[in-house]
Amino acid sequence: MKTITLVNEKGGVGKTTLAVHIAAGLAIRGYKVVLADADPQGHATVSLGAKKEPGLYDLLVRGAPFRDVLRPVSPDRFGVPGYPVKGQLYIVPSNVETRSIPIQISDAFAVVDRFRELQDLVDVVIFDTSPTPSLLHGSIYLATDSIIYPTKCEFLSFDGLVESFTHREMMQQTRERWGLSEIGVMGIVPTMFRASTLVHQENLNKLRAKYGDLVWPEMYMRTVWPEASTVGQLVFRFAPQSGAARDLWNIIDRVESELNR
Amino acid sequence: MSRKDRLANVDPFGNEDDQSTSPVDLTAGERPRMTMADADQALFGALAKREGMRQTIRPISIFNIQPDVKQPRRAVPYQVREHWSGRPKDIADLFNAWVMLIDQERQEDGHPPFNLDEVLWSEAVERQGRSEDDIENAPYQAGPIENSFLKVIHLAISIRRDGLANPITVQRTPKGAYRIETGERRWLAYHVLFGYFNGDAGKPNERDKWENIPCIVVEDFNVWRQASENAARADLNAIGRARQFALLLMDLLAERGVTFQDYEALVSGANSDRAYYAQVVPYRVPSGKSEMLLNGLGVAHRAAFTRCRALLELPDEVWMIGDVLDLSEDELLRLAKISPPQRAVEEARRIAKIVATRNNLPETEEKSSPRKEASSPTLFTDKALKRGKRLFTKQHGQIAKELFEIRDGVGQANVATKRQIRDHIQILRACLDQLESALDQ
Repeated sequence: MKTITLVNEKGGVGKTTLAVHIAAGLAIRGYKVVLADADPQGHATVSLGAKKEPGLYDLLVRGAPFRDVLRPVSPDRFGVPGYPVKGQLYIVPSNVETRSIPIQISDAFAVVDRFRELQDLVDVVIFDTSPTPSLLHGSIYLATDSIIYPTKCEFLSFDGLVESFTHREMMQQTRERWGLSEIGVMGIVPTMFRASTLVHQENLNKLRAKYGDLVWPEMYMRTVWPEASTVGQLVFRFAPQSGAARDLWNIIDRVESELNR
Repeated sequence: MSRKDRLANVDPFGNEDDQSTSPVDLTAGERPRMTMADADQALFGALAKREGMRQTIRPISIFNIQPDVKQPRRAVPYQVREHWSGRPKDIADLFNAWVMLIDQERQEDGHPPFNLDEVLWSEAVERQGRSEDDIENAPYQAGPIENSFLKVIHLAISIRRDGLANPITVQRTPKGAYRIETGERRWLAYHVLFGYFNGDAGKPNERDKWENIPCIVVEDFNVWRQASENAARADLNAIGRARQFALLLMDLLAERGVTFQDYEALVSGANSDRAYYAQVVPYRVPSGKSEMLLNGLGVAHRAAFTRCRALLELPDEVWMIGDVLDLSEDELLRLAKISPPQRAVEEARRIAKIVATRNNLPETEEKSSPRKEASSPTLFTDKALKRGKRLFTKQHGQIAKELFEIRDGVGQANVATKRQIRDHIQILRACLDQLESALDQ
């Protein structure tokens, strides 16, 4: 089992959208995937058509078994029409109660311990996090194997990205002390890219100059994204032939090759 | 300058060097611990210190929990513990050794082997150990090793019937396991229930129910919290209290920079653990800390410290016998005064022998021929001595037995009764001391 977390300490860069689509894309390709919504907004939860409820809270605070908190996601929401979904997708839902988890429990390893129960049952666990630092982030960093950083090619998103990198570095020492391996950087995904703007072009160049191969293919700003979300489907389902779906499969390819590395 | 040039000249990562957060020093602090607040500080840097943290209870696998070897109160006698690697996955070895030693204990008294089914499964026997009539009429009274086991079994029965009233407290170790701070016997009881109610031989399968035990995960191991739990219970014996005293004093001294050798460096296998605790003997209680230590031990007067120190200097074998047999502090202090130490050891062995036979003494002198030979009849000539002979050959077992019964029940006595009993003990002890010194002359 591999655990991937999507992080950027700037809001609105596409963390949730990317988390949901990576989870769905891997499920389509045959992986058993659990998406854990760790954002009190619960937008990953609603994106997959699940009800906002205290799933992560019940898991960590009330000691609920996974069978009570995992919600299976119907392939009707994300599967490519006409093609069977080979894997499975589950969501651990979230709601506003997620924000009170750190008030209720203090053990930083609660996330590690609970998700270790899935070790032999699922292939990938993906955490969608909130942009604002919370006490829960530290626990998720302890449970994470690698991080994907979505970022817009804009100044404030880069600031969030740099902050996130700094904090990952800081966490390494702690993980080392507890005998945990280093958190890998899986990749940086330039999102909502507008090739027609100078600022995006310039900034993408600078991003590549700084981080090199860690920067994955850019995902373009396309109208199909808000459309799919409006009808409650993922892009794979809503517009499987669209450029957005193509962009996504490029990303899924990278994730898959990193998982099998 | 064109828009393109202006954009090209800006370094969007320009303020990277100006990070306000700086790495925190994680090497500080002696004990490993990790809370969400710690993880948060590790990730995002230091925050203003919060006052406290609410604790909640979560289930943890009993196989991911280890006992604390330094815990002053021993749920498992040392003879049993030495048969066990200390790893939770080998816990079956511990229970097998326990039952094996109980059977040896029973065999020495000519009794049938221990039958767990009879104790744990049969409802009738479930009452054993509670009703006084049951004890009175029981065909066999358990020895010290069996008693230690029965305490676990009776706890298991009560947990199965009423549930676990208090969660145990554990601390996370760097290897990801958990170490018990309080609740070793409750943890053992869970192992008993897990191992016994496994669906075999018509028993219900309750493995799901007993595999995880409700735990409070504490941030740092706190000997004071462990002490307060121990002080609140009646069953911390005199040796246990001496251990507790040593651990608390070590904690106070550590604050002043005194260092002690590790437990593992001084204690191994079946050896006595006394050496580890005895490290505190040369040190005084730091000034201003007596009150704290008194509260931690749950005692009223500083004299208790002196008594604990005396116990810490007992010969190793006396220390171990005193722990297993739950000898009283007074008894142990008496042994501590005997010199040379070898005599104290012999005396302790003698007491152990009395205890071993205390509950199963034959009714008549004829049946106790080995003891009859041991006491020389020629000692007793006149009338008083004849009475003495009867007292020391025929009745001493009965007296010992009754005294131990008083001891077992004395927990329920009120303060006045306890004072009375203390007075009687003093009179008896004075008589025996005088008699003993008369023998020496």
